[in-house]
Amino acid sequence: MRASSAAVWALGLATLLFIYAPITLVIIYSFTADQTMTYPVKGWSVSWYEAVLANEPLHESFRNSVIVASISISVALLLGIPAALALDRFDFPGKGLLERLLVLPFVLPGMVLGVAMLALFNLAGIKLSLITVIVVHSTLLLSVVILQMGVGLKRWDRRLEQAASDLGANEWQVFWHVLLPNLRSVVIGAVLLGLTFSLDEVTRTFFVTGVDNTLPMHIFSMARQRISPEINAVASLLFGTSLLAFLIATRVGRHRVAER
Amino acid sequence: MREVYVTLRASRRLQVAAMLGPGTIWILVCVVLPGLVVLAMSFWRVENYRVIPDFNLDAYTRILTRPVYLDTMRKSLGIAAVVAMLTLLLAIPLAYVIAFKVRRNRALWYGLIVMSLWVGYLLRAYAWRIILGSNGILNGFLIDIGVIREPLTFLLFSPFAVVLTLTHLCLPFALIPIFGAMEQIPRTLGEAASDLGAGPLRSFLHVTLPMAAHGILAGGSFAFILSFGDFLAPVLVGGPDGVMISNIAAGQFGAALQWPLGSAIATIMFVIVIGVLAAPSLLSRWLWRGAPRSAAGGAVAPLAEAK
Repeated sequence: MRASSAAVWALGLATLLFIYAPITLVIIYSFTADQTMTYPVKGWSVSWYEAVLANEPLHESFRNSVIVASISISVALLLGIPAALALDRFDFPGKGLLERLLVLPFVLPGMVLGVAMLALFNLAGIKLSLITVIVVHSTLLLSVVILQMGVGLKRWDRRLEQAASDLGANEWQVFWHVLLPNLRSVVIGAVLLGLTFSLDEVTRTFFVTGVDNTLPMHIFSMARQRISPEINAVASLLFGTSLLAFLIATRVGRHRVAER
Repeated sequence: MREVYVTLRASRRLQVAAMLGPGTIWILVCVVLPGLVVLAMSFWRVENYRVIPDFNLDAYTRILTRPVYLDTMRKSLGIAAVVAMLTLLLAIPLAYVIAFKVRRNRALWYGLIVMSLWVGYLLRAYAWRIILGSNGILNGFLIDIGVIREPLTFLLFSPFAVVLTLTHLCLPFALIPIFGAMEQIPRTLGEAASDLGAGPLRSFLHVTLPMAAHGILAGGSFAFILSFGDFLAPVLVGGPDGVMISNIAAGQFGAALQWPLGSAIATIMFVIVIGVLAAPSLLSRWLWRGAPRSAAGGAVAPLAEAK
């Protein structure tokens, strides 16, 4: 192996380490016995996980987040799936502009969207509550769904549909028996990524939250005051859930590839 | 990109409208309308703690005349530029390794990058906070092995911490389009370059980089936008010196009750972001005429390529 090649490898591996070291440390330190997180670690315990289990306000914020995330992703799918399909199969004037418009909530700085929604709600006399949070999350997830589905649909082999219609299936039958089953994995991927975004969203939520906190908002306010291994424990649980979701998503994706 | 489109008949047109209409209306009401409200509000004034419709340029003159706004804007642009450069510096070699050097398990390597998107933003910023703190893991480790005696205090609550956290955040978003672009480069081009006598560095600079330019520009501009408008990292790891323009704008909507001023800052940020979004496609069209173009269009590609 040449020296330059070794250097490229080393840089690449170091970057991968840089990506994963912080989250690994967060997980390790969720098992510390001590309040302060430093090196060397004095002892180990699961007491911070017990603290999470006993933290009632945290549970409530989690329940709020589940409500917000599930309603928002439903709205986003309802509006986003037809839009993504239409963008994928039809050409029309102004399409490029429309595509850009539909992904704007994802691309715009979160703070800009957050204060803009706050200004609108204020002007319209709408009180901030979980409903306003749901509106903002739905808007963000709509972009995420359209982007994710756009990629999935581009990889999809259109000849299968042609084959079905050559064999006498009508448009609705093609949609129901050919497109939809194969779309499943694309939609699942979009759902999981959307849920992750909703369960992590602070920047936009910050401006439109009423009295009821979502989980990330609760964690954010905890982390703002002081750091505690209890936050590590919540974070580790969240990451574990995300990881599981990711593995399920890739499994489903692989299944689809194998089917082809 | 698919070249074949279905031609539109009248019934089709109705179908397209039905499919796209609801989503478009939602975005118009929840993004465009609030945007217009912010634009309008930036010209209004505040009287007795109430925002009153009016037309004046007070907010904009204030931004231009008080150094705190322009300085913070400049600092945010500077931090965003540094983050974008650092991100590319780290992302290009790793993308190159995965695209060209890894022979087995390429899917695993790529999967590891994409999976890191699943690590929440909040979690990353928090992680750096426990690592960099003066009683934190890094200081504890350095003291324990005897490199330093007193904890390094510049690590946390500084622009340095903001840059580090944002680079960490932007890395996967930049890696995905860069890898996507490199993956599409035919291997034969590299072989041709080396047959013609080009060394590895020369073939990287003259073949790989230009061919991957659209991915690099997309990743870089997305990193720039993401960090320029960031609001969380300054709050969690930035400290007083790490305050960015988003924090200043956000503050105007809180106790300060300077909604017109906050709206004016948000409007300026919006204009800058749109400019940066348009830049890569313009720049790559100008620099590399004939090179393959990004399908998803500029900086929105990163997430689109994910998974």
